[in-house]
Amino acid sequence: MIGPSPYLYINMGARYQPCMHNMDGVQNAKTLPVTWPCPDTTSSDEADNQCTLSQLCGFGGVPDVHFDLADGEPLPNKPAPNQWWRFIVPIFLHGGIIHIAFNLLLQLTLGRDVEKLIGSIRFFVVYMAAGIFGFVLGGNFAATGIASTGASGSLFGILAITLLDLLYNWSTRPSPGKELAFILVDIVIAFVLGLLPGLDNFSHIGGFLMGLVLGVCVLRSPSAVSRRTSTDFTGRSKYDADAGVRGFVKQPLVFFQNRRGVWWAWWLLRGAALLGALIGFVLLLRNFYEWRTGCSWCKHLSCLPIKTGNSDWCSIGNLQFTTNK
Amino acid sequence: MILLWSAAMSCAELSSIIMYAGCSLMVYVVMTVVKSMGSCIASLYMNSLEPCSVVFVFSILQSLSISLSLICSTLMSSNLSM
Repeated sequence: MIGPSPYLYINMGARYQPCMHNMDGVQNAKTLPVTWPCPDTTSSDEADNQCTLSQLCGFGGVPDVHFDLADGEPLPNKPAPNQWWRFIVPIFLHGGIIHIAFNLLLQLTLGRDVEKLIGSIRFFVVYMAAGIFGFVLGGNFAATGIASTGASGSLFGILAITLLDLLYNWSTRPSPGKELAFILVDIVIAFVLGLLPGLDNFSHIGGFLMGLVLGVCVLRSPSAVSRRTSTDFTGRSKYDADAGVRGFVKQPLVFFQNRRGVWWAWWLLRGAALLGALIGFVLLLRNFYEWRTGCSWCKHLSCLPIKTGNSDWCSIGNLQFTTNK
Repeated sequence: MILLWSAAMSCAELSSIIMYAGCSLMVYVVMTVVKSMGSCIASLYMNSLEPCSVVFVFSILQSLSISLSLICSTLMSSNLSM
């Protein structure tokens, strides 16, 4: 990526699970002391990696570990590291020059178009929600030792909005097939790159899913759905002038008049999508902090089952502790 | 300027063609960001905030953060005090 070490990014706010909640083998470690790489380390020598978890995480540190747990005792929830902002801050951090170059290129081209399409407030909401959801999903299912950064999740959300907008306006686009092919190639390349070891593909997947769900909520309804039953002699709806949020605020009752069944079904779907997004957030956050339910096959969404020498791609990025004798 | 300095500092150590391509891309992105910044500042004189989009603000924040991390990394690995 051509950039600083992941330990510096952990110190700057990357999503890093040991700074966010108690972890098996860390808070209930049986062999002491547990030492971590320092933020300024430039080598893997043991002598250079004698920092505490608080020093690595920074931001005022994290609570001390429980050294007094008996064998078989479940890992307690409190006191626990709780740097929750590590779900938000990494959106603004990037792993290096190449990482930020590709992301900014997409952001300044596609992102600008989408912001013009849906407006700044909705764009802000989708961008942040997709980015955060990607990191929350990664926190649940990605390798435990990955320091995840980047706006890729947010950009996948924006890509999902572009895809939905194309599908909504398929008949009015000059060459929709080409546009669809371009978007699909973008998506496939990014997902395949995310399968490389040490990268967090869950951010991409989570951002894309959240973008699709919120896109249904924030994009203007397809014209085939929003047409009213009553039209004037020109074929236009007499309510068109009052369309949108302003029209709803001015004349709330008119907004609902002469609507067809498909419109009501569409709004039901939009409501369900919004509810689904909220429930998804709540369930994943509860799983991250309380239930800790894993998934044995999920890792294959972020890595390929390839073995090179003694290392397995799917185990790269997991925390591994060694004992000094 | 900080971003340009950081990019130049990183590019100075690069040797392969792929790395130069990455640097060229970065320079293009930097120019796009600077251009967006210019149009935003220019629009402020005309009482319009239209070019100062959320995309623009986020891009500036992200560019500043990578610059900061490169500077921190350089200072830390050089054993200089912050």
